[in-house]
Amino acid sequence: MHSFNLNPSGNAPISSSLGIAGIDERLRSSFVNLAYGYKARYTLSASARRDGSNYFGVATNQKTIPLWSLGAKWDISKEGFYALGLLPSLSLRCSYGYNGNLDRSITGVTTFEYASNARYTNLPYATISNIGNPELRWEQTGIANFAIDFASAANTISGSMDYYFKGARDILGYKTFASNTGISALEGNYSDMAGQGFDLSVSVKNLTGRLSWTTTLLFSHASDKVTRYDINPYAYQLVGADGNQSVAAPVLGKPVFGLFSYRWAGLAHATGNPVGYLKGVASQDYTAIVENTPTGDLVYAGAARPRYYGGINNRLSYRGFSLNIQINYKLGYYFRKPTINYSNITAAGTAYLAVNQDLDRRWKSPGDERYTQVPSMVYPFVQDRDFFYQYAAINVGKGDHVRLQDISLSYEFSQKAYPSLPFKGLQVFLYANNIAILWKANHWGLDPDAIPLGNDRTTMPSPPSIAFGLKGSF
Amino acid sequence: MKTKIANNSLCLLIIVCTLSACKKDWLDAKPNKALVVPTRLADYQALLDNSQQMNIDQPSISMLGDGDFFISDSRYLGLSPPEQSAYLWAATKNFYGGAPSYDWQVAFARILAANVCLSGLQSLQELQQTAAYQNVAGSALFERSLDNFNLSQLYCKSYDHSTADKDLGLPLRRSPNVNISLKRASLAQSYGQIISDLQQAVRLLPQTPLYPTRPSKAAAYGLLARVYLSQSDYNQAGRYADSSLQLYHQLLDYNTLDPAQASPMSRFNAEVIYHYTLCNYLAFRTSRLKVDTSLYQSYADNDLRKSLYFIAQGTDQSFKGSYDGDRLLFGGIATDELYLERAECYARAGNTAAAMKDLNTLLKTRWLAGSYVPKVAASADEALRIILTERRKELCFRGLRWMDLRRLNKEPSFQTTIRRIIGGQSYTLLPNSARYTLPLDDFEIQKGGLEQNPR
Repeated sequence: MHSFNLNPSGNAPISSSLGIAGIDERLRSSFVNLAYGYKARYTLSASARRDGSNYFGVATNQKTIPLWSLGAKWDISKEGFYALGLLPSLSLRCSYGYNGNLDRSITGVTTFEYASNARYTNLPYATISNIGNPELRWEQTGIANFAIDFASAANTISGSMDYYFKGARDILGYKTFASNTGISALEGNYSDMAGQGFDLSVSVKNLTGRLSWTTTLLFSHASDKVTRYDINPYAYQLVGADGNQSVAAPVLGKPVFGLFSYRWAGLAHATGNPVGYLKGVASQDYTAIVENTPTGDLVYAGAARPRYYGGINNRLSYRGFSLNIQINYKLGYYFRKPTINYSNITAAGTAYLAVNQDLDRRWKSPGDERYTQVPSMVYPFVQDRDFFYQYAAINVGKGDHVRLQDISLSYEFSQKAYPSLPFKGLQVFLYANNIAILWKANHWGLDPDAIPLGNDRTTMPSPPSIAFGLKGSF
Repeated sequence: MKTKIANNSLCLLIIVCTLSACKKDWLDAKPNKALVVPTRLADYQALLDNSQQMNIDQPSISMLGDGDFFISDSRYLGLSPPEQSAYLWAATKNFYGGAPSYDWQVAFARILAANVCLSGLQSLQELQQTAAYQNVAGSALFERSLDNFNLSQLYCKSYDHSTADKDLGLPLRRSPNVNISLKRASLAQSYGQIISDLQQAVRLLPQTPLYPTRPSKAAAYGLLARVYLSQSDYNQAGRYADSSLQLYHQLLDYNTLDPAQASPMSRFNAEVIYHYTLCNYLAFRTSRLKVDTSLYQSYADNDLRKSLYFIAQGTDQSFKGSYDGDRLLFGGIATDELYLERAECYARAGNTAAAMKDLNTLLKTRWLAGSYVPKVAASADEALRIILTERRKELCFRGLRWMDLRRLNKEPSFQTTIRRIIGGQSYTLLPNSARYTLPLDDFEIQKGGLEQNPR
């Protein structure tokens, strides 16, 4: 064997320095777009695309992915029979789009990856880079959209309303496997989902003339649910996946991003220990609660992503002045409040990230449970006790809020009004952003748009900002 | 009609945009030169040559409980939850601290690799008579058997002929299809698989391997001897130890080694038939492991192992005698083990002279040149007692003691009780305790649907 002694001890083969490397990515796209208009009232459109790539280890007929869409528009107001004077402009639209998707990194057959210089022998060797999944298919997504566009005389009221529904089949995801299979997880087509929603946009000219005032209202709704899921997640996986961590917690019939938590029974009077439930009975066996709670016994709060959202914009202008006020809102969702996890405050290097002001609110002596829900600190720390409290229902709140997003005020000096100006136009403006939360459902004083993820304590609410400026054009 | 369409202002717009190369197989190019869909014998051989997977990390967490070493209270606190549990033979609940069992995981990953090879060979049947094919097939069977055997010593009860049909064995994976879920076979079925894999391997493997990291006929015979020994089938164990030694029987004269070295034994030394190392647990580090005092004191002063195996750590001794030639602990197959196995089987068969001859042949190479006085035994029983004592002294820290405790505890005259004190509290492992079988991790019970060991 080609070994030599290492200093101070041991020995190793002399590296052959041989290696295999070379990367070659190939992409090919074909694209077709067709549009057909008839009498300026009917429009049909179609588009199709094929994206090909040198995906490795898939059958040749799967190397290209299809995408296509069909659409139609009918301008009713241009028809002879149309007589709705109130809405001189009215049209209907609908479309359907489809696409397939395959993850580049996974294949249906077993593949090896070669490397050089095996430990001890220097031989070239291979590892399994992908264990074959013969049942692998494309993800398929279809979206249907129906819409109305309308406008009243002189565009006093104009807007559109879109309704869509969406189905996705064979969505790719990871499923954990028992280790006796030889792997820990495998990506495959384990789920289906369905979604629907609408977007409403209305713009109203309240005043026109010297003083003009336009109000624009945006209102959207989005909901989704899991319609098939082949994996049975554990309770601790479901609670650990919050919507705000962009980790899905799919449960049949529930949104892809939902918020689950352990049932909470308060703090024990004598010890300040958190109390949960096991099979319907109050329990302090944290390991059993964390590991053995059936997913059906978890508390489901609701969606972790807003179900309704939008904004109201008011724009006023008078002579050279203009004022713009934007208010946004998000409704119908839940979030998990970050709290103290005692076990993490001793973690080397990241301890400072785990400290939370709830430490100060903790239970310290019997009776405190009347004022606080933060458990006592016990040492040595018990990880499962901390995990249970962190993911208990007591730490879930409604995310709904209304925010005064921004205000801008500007004045425009135009050359017309001030002929002596050396500019074509000069604008002075004041812009304030992230001004305030006007209303929020949670009582913790937390901005639901700035909830830190996991151990991250660096996330902060976007600070208000004010800018003052001058803008000239020549 | 034609004019009507024109009047109605037909508007047709087509954009076709194709960015394509002329060749149809353009998309078949490999994105990464290192990737292959395995089709050739060489691909499967390359998978088995991955020493980083195949020749390290053999199941060994049981060694923490075998009593050949102890660790200080403060070092105990620094161990991972599974190590702490194994050290104190803890109860099943939370044994692995919520993590999967590492030994179980890595062993089954290797079994999967072996099964990928064996299933790949099915489409290469035309090459069946070639040496390359037989080496791949024999190696894959050997690896699968080795892992199944090592797993059985941790996670299954010690083999007992009268109950093996009912005792829980292993989920026996014979296919690379990960979608198949299995129940635990019986212990008798598991041993049946282990032995039949090895018997096939013996026929396929070459007499001399190209590298000690590849199995050979002698290695397969050697493993068969170990397997039968664990079943207390001393006839077969002796037979296979002999078959292996017939093929290769070289011993290393310890007088040629330098005790001043940090690792006096070299990797792939003359005694090594097949090289592999044990899972590298924190407790096995020289700085933590403290050799059992009575074990250390059992070596005579002229016994070279006293200075070649051990290194002083403060007032205690640690181990430095691994045949890995480095800090990893060797668990592979070597001639010294086979001499001791054949000697034990001779003694058990009543052949005192042959037993003592094997023992003395080995020990002569372990003692200072000229100082060794051949041991004599008045009876086969006495020979057996001497051989078992020498077995523990020669093969310590190779992951074999656990198997020996399990089988020898069945004989009243060789029973051992192991005691520990940690944090002022004492712990005891009684002979034949159910704690000699480690629990499966919670994931295997919940996800894999396997039955837990009663402990």
